[in-house]
Amino acid sequence: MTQNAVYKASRVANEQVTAWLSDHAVIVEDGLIADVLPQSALPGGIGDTHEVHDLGDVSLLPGLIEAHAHMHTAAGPDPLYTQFSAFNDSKEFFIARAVDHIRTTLLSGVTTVRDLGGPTDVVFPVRDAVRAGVIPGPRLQLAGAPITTTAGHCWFFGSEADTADEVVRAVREQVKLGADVIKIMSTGGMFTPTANPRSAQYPVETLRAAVVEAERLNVQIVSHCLAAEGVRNCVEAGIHCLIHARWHDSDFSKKLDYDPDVAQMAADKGIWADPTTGHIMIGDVRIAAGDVPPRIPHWAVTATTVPEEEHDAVLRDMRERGVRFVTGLDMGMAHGEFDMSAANAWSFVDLLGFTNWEAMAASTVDTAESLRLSAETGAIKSGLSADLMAVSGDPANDIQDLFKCTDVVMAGKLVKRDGRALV
Amino acid sequence: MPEAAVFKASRIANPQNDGWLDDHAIITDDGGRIEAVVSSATLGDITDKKVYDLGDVSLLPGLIEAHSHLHVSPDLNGYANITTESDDRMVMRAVGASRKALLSGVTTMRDLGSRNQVAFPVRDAIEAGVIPGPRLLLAGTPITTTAGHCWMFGTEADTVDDVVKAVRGQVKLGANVIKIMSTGGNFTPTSNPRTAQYPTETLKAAVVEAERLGVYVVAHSHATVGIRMCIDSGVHQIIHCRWISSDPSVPMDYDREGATRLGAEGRWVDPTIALSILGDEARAAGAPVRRSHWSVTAARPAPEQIIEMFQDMRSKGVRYTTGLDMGMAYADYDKSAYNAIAFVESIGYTPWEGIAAATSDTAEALRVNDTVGSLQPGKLADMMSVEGDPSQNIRALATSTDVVKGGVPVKLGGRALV
Repeated sequence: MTQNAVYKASRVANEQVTAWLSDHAVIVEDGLIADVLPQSALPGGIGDTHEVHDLGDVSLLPGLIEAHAHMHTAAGPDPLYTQFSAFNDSKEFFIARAVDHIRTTLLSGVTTVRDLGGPTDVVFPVRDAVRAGVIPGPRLQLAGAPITTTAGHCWFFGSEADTADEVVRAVREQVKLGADVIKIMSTGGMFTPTANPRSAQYPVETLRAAVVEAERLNVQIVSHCLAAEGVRNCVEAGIHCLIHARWHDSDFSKKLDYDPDVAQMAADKGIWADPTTGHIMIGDVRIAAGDVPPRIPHWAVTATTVPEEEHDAVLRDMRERGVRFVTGLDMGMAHGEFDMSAANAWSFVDLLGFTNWEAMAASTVDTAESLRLSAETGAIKSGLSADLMAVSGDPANDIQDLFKCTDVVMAGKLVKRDGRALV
Repeated sequence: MPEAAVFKASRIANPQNDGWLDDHAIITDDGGRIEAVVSSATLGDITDKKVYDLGDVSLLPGLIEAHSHLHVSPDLNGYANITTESDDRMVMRAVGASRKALLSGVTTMRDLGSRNQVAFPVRDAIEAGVIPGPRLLLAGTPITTTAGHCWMFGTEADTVDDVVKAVRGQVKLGANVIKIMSTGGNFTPTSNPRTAQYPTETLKAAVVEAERLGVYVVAHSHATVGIRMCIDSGVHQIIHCRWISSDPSVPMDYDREGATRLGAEGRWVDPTIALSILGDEARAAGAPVRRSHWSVTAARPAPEQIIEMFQDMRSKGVRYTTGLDMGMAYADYDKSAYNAIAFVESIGYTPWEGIAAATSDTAEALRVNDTVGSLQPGKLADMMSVEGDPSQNIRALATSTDVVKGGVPVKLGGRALV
């Protein structure tokens, strides 16, 4: 049940998320944004029909959009092998953890989460329960089980498929279960000891078969890629979003094998990238301050380590060529805690040269566009879902103010007020 | 992980839960236990421990809730949900319920009936630190007859042999307590609350087997016929204990002799009377009235009759546990304080007696008073604080501001940390 309401704030983000509207108010009716207007223009008797919340000296933004979570994993330094195990935990533990995690994310100001890989018997029931109002949580877009090779990246919660025929069937199966997006692992990954992050798991033709099938069934397809070989295959196959977009050379003795022509092709095709720089930045800051680093680095990338600055230089060049970025933290991996989505925008500013407003737009309106949700959420605009978050301070001046979430409205329902959870 | 710490408060309950220690502090160790309770004035400068000055609050042992059903929705859809929802969804409900209870100040909770596939994994997840929640003492599935009370999340067992096997099955899964349904109940349309589900011999067999395996038996019993059988068979605690007559035209059949035996033999009773207060308050605020069970609509005892009966039982020495029956309509998981509120406002407890009932007394009944239930050295640092002074106004117990479980703060200044 949502209550018709008015939310007044000193600063309200404009529709494009490029500037503040001073002393404005957002009118919410039936879970949707009905109007945005100066507080001085509010009708006199509005308090008779609407609950009026004066949020005060806060910055009111569209709810953040998190493009990359794994709701069932534990975000510790070793989410694979500790007692918080993505490897051995029971379905009930995964469900319990996921319920806790998505609530945490909601209360940090995130009103939409795209989960890019989890056990199907965990993530789909959790989404159903959120939709039924049984548990609090953000709007969820789900990949379900990621498609990977036998023993490939994330096989322990993936759908193993080795041939083009198997991959097509795997796409169909995830759609049948209710997937909104297909995740396919085009290279190995750091999380999986038996996978090689520096080489391709699938040839172009197999990826292309997955893209054709996903498009036929009207879902997006995104792909994990940590090696140049994988990025190239994804771009040629027409994958819609490159996850990580890291260009490691397949030769262990070398560092990166960045190909600007492939980057240009990605830009020209309108392919998005999820650079996942947020959790890397959190990790670097914490490890510099003495925190435990993640478990022993992966065998395939330790041979020649690539400093983060070199990845960031590549990401900046991709951006200059026109590749657009979504804000995906990789929640659930080391340093990707479920209340840290604001680190996406922070890293875009500090590492990739976004302006503060560009980073806020990336976290909201841009990522909504990439997730094909522009008609539903991502901006404070009449007709969209009343998905709002307020922070104290002004993130246009200090992007880290995005972490200071005070209030959250989810589809018209107030779930956090003045720092206190209401759910 | 707990860290050694100091928790200062204006008022701290004494070890007997019958008076305040003014301006005292609890010192905890890195094992999550209470090391000392001292006057704040004697503390001096503390440099090796974190100091939490909770301010002008009343610091008490964490509440002990004796009766929850973690996976039931505490509204009028409870029955519809429990008969149609998946185990997965019940796990999700239980995760939310556990958090809610903990943040309201409940640090130990006895669940008297939830599906095994739900209750045990949720307890494991809390113990492993996957999710926040109180220490859980579990019955798992209650033992009931085929189609009997709570069959939809119970173990159906009709004969002595079935019941003995059911007791063993629960103990194998990790139950701390056996719940058996000695009469039908209002929640279950196919059961009759006015009659006994099991004869004395079957209850006796359950008690003997439970005692052999080191656990105790609590029995749901509404009707006098069932309560008498519970007394005769040695059931350790009686839940509800309403002395309803088996004759539908007669409201109550209170057996004073039976009550005297309960008192003399030291049996605990969980009167679940806060349900009535919560229901009355919800309906006064416009909530719909719960449907009535076919067998109890015929003749209902007046609320005053029930209160007089519980007052009389208490005068005969029967002790009461603070069990809300969480999960029933309007008995939400953050309402445990209403147990003590009801004891004070309805039965005539003093506020301190209400506080002791909700802490040290119920800890004793749940057989965990060696580790929780009072603030004294050696016990676990399970604590909750409330605004104001509940010894003046028991309703203050429902205003939890800080919660500490095993020395780890999970709520401070009204804000959840988990």
